[in-house]
Amino acid sequence: MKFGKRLKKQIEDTIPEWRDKFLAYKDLKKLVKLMSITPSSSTDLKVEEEFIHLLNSEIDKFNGFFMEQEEEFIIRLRELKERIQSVISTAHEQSEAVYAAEMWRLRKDIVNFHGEMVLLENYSSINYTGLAKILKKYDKRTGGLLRLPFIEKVLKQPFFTTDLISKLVKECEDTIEQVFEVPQENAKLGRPEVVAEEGAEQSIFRNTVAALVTMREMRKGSSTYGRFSLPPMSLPDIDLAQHLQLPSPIPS
Amino acid sequence: MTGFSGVISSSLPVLPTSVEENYPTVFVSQSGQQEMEASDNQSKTAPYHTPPVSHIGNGRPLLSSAQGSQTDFQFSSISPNGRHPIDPLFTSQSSFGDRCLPSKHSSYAMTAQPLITHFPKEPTEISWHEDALTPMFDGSENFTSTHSQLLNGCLVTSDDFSKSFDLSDLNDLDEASLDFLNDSNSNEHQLQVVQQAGRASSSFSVPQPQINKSALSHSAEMCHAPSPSSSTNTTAVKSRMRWTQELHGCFVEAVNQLGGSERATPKEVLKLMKKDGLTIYHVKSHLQKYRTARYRPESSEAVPEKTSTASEKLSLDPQTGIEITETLRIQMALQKQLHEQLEIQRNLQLRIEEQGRYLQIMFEKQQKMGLEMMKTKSPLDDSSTQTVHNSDNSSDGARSASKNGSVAADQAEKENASIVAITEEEFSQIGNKHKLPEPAVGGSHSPTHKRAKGGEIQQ
Repeated sequence: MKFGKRLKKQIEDTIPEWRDKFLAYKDLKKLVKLMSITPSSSTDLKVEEEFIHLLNSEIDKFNGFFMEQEEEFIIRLRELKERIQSVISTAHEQSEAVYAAEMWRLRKDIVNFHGEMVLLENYSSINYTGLAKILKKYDKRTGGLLRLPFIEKVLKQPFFTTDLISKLVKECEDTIEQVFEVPQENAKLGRPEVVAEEGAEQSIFRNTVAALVTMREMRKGSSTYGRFSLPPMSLPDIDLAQHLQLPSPIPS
Repeated sequence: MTGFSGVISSSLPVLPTSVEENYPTVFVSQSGQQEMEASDNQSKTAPYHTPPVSHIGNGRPLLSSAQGSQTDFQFSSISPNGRHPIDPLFTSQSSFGDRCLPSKHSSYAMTAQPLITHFPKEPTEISWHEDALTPMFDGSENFTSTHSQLLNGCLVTSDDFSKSFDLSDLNDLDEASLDFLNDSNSNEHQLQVVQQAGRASSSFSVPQPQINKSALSHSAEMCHAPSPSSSTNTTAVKSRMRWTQELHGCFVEAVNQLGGSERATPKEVLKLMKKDGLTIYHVKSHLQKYRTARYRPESSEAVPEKTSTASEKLSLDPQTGIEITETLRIQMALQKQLHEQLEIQRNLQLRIEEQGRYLQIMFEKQQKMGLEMMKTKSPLDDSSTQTVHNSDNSSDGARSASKNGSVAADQAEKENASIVAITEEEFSQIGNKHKLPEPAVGGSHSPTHKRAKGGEIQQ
């Protein structure tokens, strides 16, 4: 149930619109429990069918959602880049204050945008993990061999083929450096706007932290470290970030 | 509406992957990255490269890269009636005319199947569906192809394609389709529109022999389950387009040529883009998203001086700017870390599965070898139990051996990073099976037992 709890936590912390898009892990577990250990009776067949059906529909859900988001991100990245160009190029035309404000907004937007994309990657990862786990449970319970072929299918699904998102993220990171390098306007004049997107920003932040914490926990505590094991994730920032979460970083 | 087929231990018929949702894609060149990720020879079985497998089940040679998913073929080989092993989700990789380039390359694993087949509700729809399916079938899982040639290259050059499925047919239906599209509950109508378009084209070009119709209709029945997705239509008939940056760039160009996002209409954009397989439906929804994305930032920019009380307070404080930057920087650092870790994790997961598959094959081979040897040598009862070292069951050797494959695969999964170590160990154990007495195998038992016990790693 550990994974189930972590999944739940992530769902709680995630962007609100995303909440129902995650894996129905609990439901799948229930189905697995319904399966009998001895090979199929007639109810078994039905449960199996339902299980597979639910898996498939979940995967469809992931794919659909993922691709929608991906499409949006493509659009938004391009728009952000254009926006940066226009802000920078019209800098001389505007007062310092206006320029500063725009830059702030831009920075905030871009960082949040980056965060969303990474969260989509996380979405992909956590759903994949959930699928892998539930399939393993299923096989363990029934002695079946559903997992291996199924998971191979999953590996090829759009929601798991995250190369494009990864590329977008990297592009975004490069762009961000560009934005933050822009001659630092007078900090005193900077008026970061606290707009209504505050909520989204917070949930991105929270979700990011939750995701990192989850990953760290999942990856430590393996009693089977081998030579090739990854070292536990060391994320010094994460503790700081967790502290930052409690009081809202920007008063709203 | 199922997205998958799965081979299951019972005799439950294998559901072919749903044909309803297909994701024709135009690919971005992501050459460097993906090649690297799947660079091992072994990753021939990894998502991006599957070894050519002759297509079992419907007897036709694979079209482009036989990289129609290998697992698909495995499925089909199992299903008795040669159920069409399409992975329709991915098969309709509209390579936009890639038909003319039947490459063996995995990245080309799409047939220029523009339209997606929707799982027909009525029997009349099946015909188009089947036609459409045939070419689609070979499209493989290779969604994010590494090779972008498709995109820029062949679009209008695919002669047979444009002949068979002329977008102008679709455009003629524009008025009707737009009305349908406006009705959010009319996805079924969309289907019909699409199908009309399909039928309008004389020969939906089918270079391959027809697929097994019975399999199709069978699968058609199976896929009626309501979709839990947010789509309003229970049959989830949406044909999904997986957009890429290049395609979007093409879109933006077209829109700009037409005078901007407000002025451009989907029909015009579609015409200008000239991409096979792109439907007005895709363009329309994309245009909507595009407008939204442009509208929001602009409206907030229009009031740069707007301040809430909070930011008024902030503006008084000279420190604030720096604080905000710091917060952003921390946020950014975290996000970067998460991204990095996710990539690492993903690569691991891919490798684990690869290894798992590999182990499975090895185990099966060993199993065969073991069985053969058992026929000849009697004292090999010991050796067959030795293979059970990983398995929880101690029953007959064959079953354990096959379970070994999956159990070993599962255990490999548990040890994310020590895959290589496992492989070496396992193989030395197997190799020693016949030679060494108990102690040696027992010696190597302990690590595996440790794995088995400590295996409840939180993942």
